[in-house]
Amino acid sequence: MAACSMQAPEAWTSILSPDAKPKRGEIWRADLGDGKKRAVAIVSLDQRNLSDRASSVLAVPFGSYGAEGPTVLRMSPGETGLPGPSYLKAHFIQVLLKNKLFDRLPRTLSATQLRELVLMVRCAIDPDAPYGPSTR
Amino acid sequence: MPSREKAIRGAARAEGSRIATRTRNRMKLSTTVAAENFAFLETMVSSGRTDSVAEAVDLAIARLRRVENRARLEAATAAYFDGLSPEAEVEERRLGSLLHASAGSVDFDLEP
Repeated sequence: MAACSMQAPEAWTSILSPDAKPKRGEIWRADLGDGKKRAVAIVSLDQRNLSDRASSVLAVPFGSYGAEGPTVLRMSPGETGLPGPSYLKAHFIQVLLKNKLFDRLPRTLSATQLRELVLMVRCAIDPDAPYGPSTR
Repeated sequence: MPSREKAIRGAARAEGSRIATRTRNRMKLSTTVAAENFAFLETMVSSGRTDSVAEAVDLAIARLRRVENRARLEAATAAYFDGLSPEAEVEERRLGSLLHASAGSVDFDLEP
């Protein structure tokens, strides 16, 4: 499979507001330093995301390859707006400068997906995070 | 009504509500256990770790569930990384390196 979920169609750029601020649950394309625009989901609270005093957000990147696991959620193109299936990798939760965020994709994570993502982040850092059939 | 009396009645209502909730959340369990396990439960009570044998049973089960949950999470995490395809492994390494480098541009001293 090609690394399609990293690169979003250029057409999406046209729907963006130049002064848009990231909000929790939104999917953005970001510059992680390799010259590609990579999709990330914003997970920090909006009080931080929208604050002019905070120059960074917490983000979880999407990958094109992987498998579902305690810290990885497979998402379909219909859920993300990305061109192919993608893998939201909570074990890569990261501080990201807001000025590294390029543009927002049309889809946002649902409240249920955000709760699941938070639980996955917890699974990455807390050995006692609830994990099992009843928690996912 | 004097405010003190009102506060006491309010507290009583709250306590009653707490007891009702606790009662609703508890199930009756009538069974037998091995003598040494019963002795262990009684020791938990006598040593003050729990207030009752019922609480001791809850605590023991909670500990067992935590151990089982931890084992499940550890096994699944190991299975995820052990089972990565070559492409996924390359991407994991790439993402790790990129994010590590990207974090270098954040001045944590300047962040509120």
